[in-house]
Amino acid sequence: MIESITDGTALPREREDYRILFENNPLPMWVFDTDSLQFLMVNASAVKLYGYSKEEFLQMTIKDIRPQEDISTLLQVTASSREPLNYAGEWVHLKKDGTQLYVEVVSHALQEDDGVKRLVVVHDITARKLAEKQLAEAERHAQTILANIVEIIFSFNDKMEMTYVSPQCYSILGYTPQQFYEDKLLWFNLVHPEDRYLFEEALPKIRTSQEQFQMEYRIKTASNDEKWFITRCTGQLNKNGYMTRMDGSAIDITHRKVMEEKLRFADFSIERASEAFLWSRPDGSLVRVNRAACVMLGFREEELLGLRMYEIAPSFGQQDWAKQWASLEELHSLTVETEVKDAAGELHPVEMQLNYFNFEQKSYSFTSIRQIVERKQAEAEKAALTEEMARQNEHLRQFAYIVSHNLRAPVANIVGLTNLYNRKSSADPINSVLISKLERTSQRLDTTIRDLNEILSIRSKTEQVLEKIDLQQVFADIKESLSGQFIQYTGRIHADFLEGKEVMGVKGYVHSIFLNLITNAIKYQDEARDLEIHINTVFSNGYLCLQVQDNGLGIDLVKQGGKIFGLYRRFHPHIDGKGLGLYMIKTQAETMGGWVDVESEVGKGSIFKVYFQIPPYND
Amino acid sequence: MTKYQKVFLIDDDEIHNFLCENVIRGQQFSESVNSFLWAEEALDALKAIVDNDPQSFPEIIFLDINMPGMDGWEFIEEYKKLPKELTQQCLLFVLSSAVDKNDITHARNLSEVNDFFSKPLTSDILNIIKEQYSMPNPDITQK
Repeated sequence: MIESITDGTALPREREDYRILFENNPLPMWVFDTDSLQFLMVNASAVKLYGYSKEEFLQMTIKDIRPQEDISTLLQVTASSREPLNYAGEWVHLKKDGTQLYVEVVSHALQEDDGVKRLVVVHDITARKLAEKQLAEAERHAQTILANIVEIIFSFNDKMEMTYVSPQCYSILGYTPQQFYEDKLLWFNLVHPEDRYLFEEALPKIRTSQEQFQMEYRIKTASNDEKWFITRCTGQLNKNGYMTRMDGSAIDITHRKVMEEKLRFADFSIERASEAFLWSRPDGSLVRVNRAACVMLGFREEELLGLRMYEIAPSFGQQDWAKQWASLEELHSLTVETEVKDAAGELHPVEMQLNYFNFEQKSYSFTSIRQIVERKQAEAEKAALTEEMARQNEHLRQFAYIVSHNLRAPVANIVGLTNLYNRKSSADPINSVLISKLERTSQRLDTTIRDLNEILSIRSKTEQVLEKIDLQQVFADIKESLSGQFIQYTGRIHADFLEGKEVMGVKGYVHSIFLNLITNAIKYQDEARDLEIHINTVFSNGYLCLQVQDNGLGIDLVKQGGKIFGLYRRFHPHIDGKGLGLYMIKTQAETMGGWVDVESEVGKGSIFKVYFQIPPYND
Repeated sequence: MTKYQKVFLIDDDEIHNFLCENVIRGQQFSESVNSFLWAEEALDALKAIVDNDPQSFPEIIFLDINMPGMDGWEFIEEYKKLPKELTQQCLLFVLSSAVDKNDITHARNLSEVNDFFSKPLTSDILNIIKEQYSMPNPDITQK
């Protein structure tokens, strides 16, 4: 019967219809012998698909259109007992030109007397297969990309359940994607409780907009470590504006955060350091300054950054800066004691340490500045102390000198005078002379001792509280006290305080100085002319100078200059001086923060000058 | 008992001069005593003697150290410049109220200074001088 179909001869009407159905079927079809596997019939579609002519087909077996590797499987299938209608599944066939065809094969048994034949219908699925293959390839490609990016990629559905997470979640968080799929809320539960509000705040916005949102937050890993993540995500909205999905990524920024933290820590320390720091370039321009630098120099940061190193520390010199830099480059570190100029133009002594360094192929200097005013002050205090000690030593020396000379001199006289006393004959006229001399000597001794006491008490008071003193008032008091012994001279004293009369002082000292100067002028007057004393004041470099000028004997300053204000120096023997007055004046003036000076010429007179501190202006 | 012809006192302390004059007179130590309140005056007097009457150069000088103007040390410097034949015959004693060791040592180190005495001048000091320093023998001088 098959024969007759293939022949196509002498077919009844019905059979002719089947033949046409076979021949013109758009699906490739053939009939083969299950024993010999020979093609017995092929239709036009098969001829067209496989490229073999009908004649060529009929010379081939079904093995000939299979790749070599599939043949053993084919033989197993053909040897097995099959259902009459067999869905043989997908196979790979070969065309005549050798290209592969992906086909779905269905066969049906045709029972004939001389053995079993099968009608095969082939469905070409090559196009579909290729598409599938491409899809798989594309997916693999996507997976490779996903696997190689450092971010975790994820998707949440509209219920905020995790629907996708890329495998990085395991290496970064220690949880597998599977764990996230099983526990849909795991991700949010891992977020640090303190940072969850970020999500809570962002979610309503994500649900209603297509903007990208960004959050930095802490998350806990499977091993309970804390990591910093930055997440960027965008909601996918449907046409009604409802979110159907949220896609996003999470990047582990823990390292960056740690570095940031370290940087912030360093920055914080630098800004709060009490030492001033400056970073400068080789041309002396500034890159950065810290807060202490701004405070020390009295500039705002922007102002300071506009300056150069040699403007801040003028001693570097604009001309010499290149030289300074060269030596810094060579030595890498320089410590200099110099001065910095602040915004007000004032100079402050500082210690500057310059450190040379290279950063990204550029050289810089990191400079720290420390004020050394205190150190300088300490040095000055030490110097002052040394000076004070030297002065104290000088006093001690002088004191020993007084004790050995001036104190002992009257004692020696008393001893001597007492020896001369005629005890046998009290009527001896010398006795009364001796008594009067003894009296004078004892008085001198008494005065010397009292003066010594006075000097010692002035010296022992190191810190005297100064008050405002009116020189004119003091002068009026002195004139009053002079009116006893020196009444005849008061008219010869001419005073004017037009230039100034207020000084800072200790009233007792000012009085004593004034009185001493006037009585000295009276004592050492020149008998050859009438005494004239002129008193006035004059301002000099912030001090008020009291000048007492006389026309008396004068002092040879060339001979006596150095010792004139020394302890127990006398310049005139026959007058009852003790040499103490000028020394007292000097001591008292110095105790009040001033000093004394003298101009004198023998035979012309002297001008004594006492310099006082003046009261502050504000009152 | 022999005595000196001329003694110079150089001291700015009037009372001590008075005292010295009385002791010297009381001890019959010298024929005459000249007191000077200023060392300059004493020096001028010595120079005048050198120029006019070298024979009357004092045999003894008592010199105070601590004086206004020219002090004892400065006087000695000037004294050195006077003719040696006269000054070598003269005894120079420093008479000071000082008990200052430096002053005493300094005085004793000067060859011009024969000795250092502490004030006041007493008869004991004069006796020491008489005993230790050869008195001019009037017999010899008369020859």
